[in-house]
Amino acid sequence: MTERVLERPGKRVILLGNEAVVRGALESGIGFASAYPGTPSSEIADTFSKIAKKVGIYFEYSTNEKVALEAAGGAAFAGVRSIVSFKHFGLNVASDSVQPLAYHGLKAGMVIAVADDPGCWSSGQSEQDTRFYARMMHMPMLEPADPQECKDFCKLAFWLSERFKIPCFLRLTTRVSHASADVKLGRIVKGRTQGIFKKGDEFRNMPPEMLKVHEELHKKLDQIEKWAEKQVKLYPGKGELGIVTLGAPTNYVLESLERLKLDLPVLKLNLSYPIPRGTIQRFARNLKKIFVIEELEPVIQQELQRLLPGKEVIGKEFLPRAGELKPETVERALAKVFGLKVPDLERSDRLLKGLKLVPRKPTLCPGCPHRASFWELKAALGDAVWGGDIGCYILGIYPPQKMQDWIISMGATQGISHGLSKTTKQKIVSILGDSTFFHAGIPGLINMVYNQSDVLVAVLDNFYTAMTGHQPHPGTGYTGMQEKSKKLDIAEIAKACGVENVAVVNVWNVKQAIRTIKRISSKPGPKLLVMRGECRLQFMRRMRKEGIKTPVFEIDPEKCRRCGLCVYQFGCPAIHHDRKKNLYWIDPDYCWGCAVCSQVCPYGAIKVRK
Amino acid sequence: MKEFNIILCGVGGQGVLTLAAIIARAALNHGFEVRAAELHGLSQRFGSIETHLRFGKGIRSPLVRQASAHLVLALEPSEALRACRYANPETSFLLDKKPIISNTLYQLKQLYPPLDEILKRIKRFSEKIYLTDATQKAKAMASPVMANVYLLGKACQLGLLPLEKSWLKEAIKEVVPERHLKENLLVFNAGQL
Repeated sequence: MTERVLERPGKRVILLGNEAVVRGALESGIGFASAYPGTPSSEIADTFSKIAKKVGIYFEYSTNEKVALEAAGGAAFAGVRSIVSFKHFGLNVASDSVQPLAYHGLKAGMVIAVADDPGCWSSGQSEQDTRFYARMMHMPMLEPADPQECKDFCKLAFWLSERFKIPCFLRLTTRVSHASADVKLGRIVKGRTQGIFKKGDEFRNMPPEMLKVHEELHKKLDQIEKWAEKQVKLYPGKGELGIVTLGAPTNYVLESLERLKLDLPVLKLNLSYPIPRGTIQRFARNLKKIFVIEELEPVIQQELQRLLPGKEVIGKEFLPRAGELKPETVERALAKVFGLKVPDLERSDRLLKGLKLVPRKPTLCPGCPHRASFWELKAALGDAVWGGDIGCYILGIYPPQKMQDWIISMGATQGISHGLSKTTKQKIVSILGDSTFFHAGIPGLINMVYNQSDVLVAVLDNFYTAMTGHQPHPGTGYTGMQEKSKKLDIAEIAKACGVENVAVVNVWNVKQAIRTIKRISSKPGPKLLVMRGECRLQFMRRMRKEGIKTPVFEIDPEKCRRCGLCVYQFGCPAIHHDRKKNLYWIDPDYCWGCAVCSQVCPYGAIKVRK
Repeated sequence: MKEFNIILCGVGGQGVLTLAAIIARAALNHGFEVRAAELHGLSQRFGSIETHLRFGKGIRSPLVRQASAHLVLALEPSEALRACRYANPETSFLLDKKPIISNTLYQLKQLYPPLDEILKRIKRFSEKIYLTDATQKAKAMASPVMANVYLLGKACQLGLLPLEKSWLKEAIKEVVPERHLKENLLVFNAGQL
């Protein structure tokens, strides 16, 4: 089932948008793929990881997005077609190296697949609109609207990149990356995986030549724009108002027009940068009004306002700037522009106002090692400042833990903790995960040593990049192609960085962990604690596969004094409180046998079920 | 039939995505165009899961429009409340009765509403509600994780899906890994009773 992405040409198969990107790359003859996982982009990387060996291409999970991008750049320097993928925040990390790549030549096509997350379904930091990057970086950006286009546009992106010797963005959004649809497949092309690096001036530019290259880059963009004039889809219609749209909202526009029985001309752009100005001017010639339907910021709307003086260009006056667009958002906006009523939506809105939902936040899994770590840190240190970062432990933001005092970006907790330690007398604990430590936690650690801050760094090591789907990282011991690799040791790295006080704890042993945390936190200067415990989801998968039964715990009602600590302070989702009977109990279907609750219970009431 | 819209909901880990994949495959194999919208990542960790599945002719959006679902398949009763956003008076709801009480409720000092109360709230949107014991039945036969195929069998038996039983069976064979296939088919068949 996982290899549907390798089905024969001509066949129609259901693919996720992200899988379709991979197929598009395979049909373009790529030889090299790299990535750092991040929702909603992760399945691009995970699919490559599954098939790379089979199809004879190279794939890696890199330590972070900047390295992933540079590695794909290196492959393109050698004449090997490459693709790199990450989520929108990943582009922020990689951005320092993206811009120069546009200035420099490439010897083979290079595609940067970047996934935005309108609606912040899986992004706690911001609701970024990556289309601005294309403008700043002077790089073309293609925007597929569905899985079929994910595949087709990926191929187009490779063609464009190689034709104009410039990396090309393939911009995805959650509703494109995670949409499934039937896709018609083309032929897989065997690409080069080995090339040769020929020394030449195109890879090293210094001022004043840089200015010449900059000028040439703009000429190149003009040529790309000329090519993009035909990269549109026109849906004819009547009337004085025309719609310009792109990406996922295209689907909502076309269905809404049908539902509202409106016959309007629609121009769908395949590129969000550069926009084909000539085509748009021709489209607008006989229209009075243009309605730009786009997600997030009014990027295209503002460009059209400049491009079409004398025409009324509307958009964000009728559509939200925050949150993703949905079919009904677009339909309502169109109905409002034309003064139409939508009775079924009105009924639904009215009823929804009075509907009481049952709250359910995502939570750390039963048996999650992070729950143990949070418990041990709090038990040892009381009320410290808890630096937060990006990973599953972000869920510690909710009660009962409430131990993520900030969430900024990958590895940011290191710098913020350092700054706080220099400017407050508070006890600062910088919490980050293993993958995050490798990704961006090390420069901050070195800075703590160099500039001597008094911070306890707690690395919650669950052996994987867990939140995005358990991808391996430099500490896991194997690569994205399932090959054995060196297992980097976080404690040894910390020592090599000059941290004098380093300790490793086994999070499943609560008493010992608390003792170690107390001991190390009393030392002056920067100190680092590796809190080791395998992700329980992975552990349970392995146990099930091997047919090993894990213990299930239960609460002895005789010994239980109804203090509520297990449910209200520890907060394992397998433990429940029947308030009517005032009884605490463990749901055996959800107990994953970590035994931490039995160590946390002050009355020894939690035992293995016989 | 121009389009058929399903909302599949439940709690992360209940097999909502697999259920969607089975129905999608059955629809594709029999000539329908298919669109689905899934959620991955953060929300999967014991949070609310909502998957949209549409099939028919000339469909484009992977998202079901508000008030436009034909069928809601809920693996957890209170999650069906969230799906009311997609309901109209013609929408059918098929619910598993077993609640999964979230720790969020304990933290908020709220009680999980009784099933009757949940049904009362849904009834204001649509009266077409069907109940089943999918988790309990699946657990007795094999594993509670197979509640998804039990629910599918039940939907089939009640005639809530415009897909034939044999199509779904064939799709289960294509989607479910070999080593779990026998049990899945057994549980699916039990849902038909």
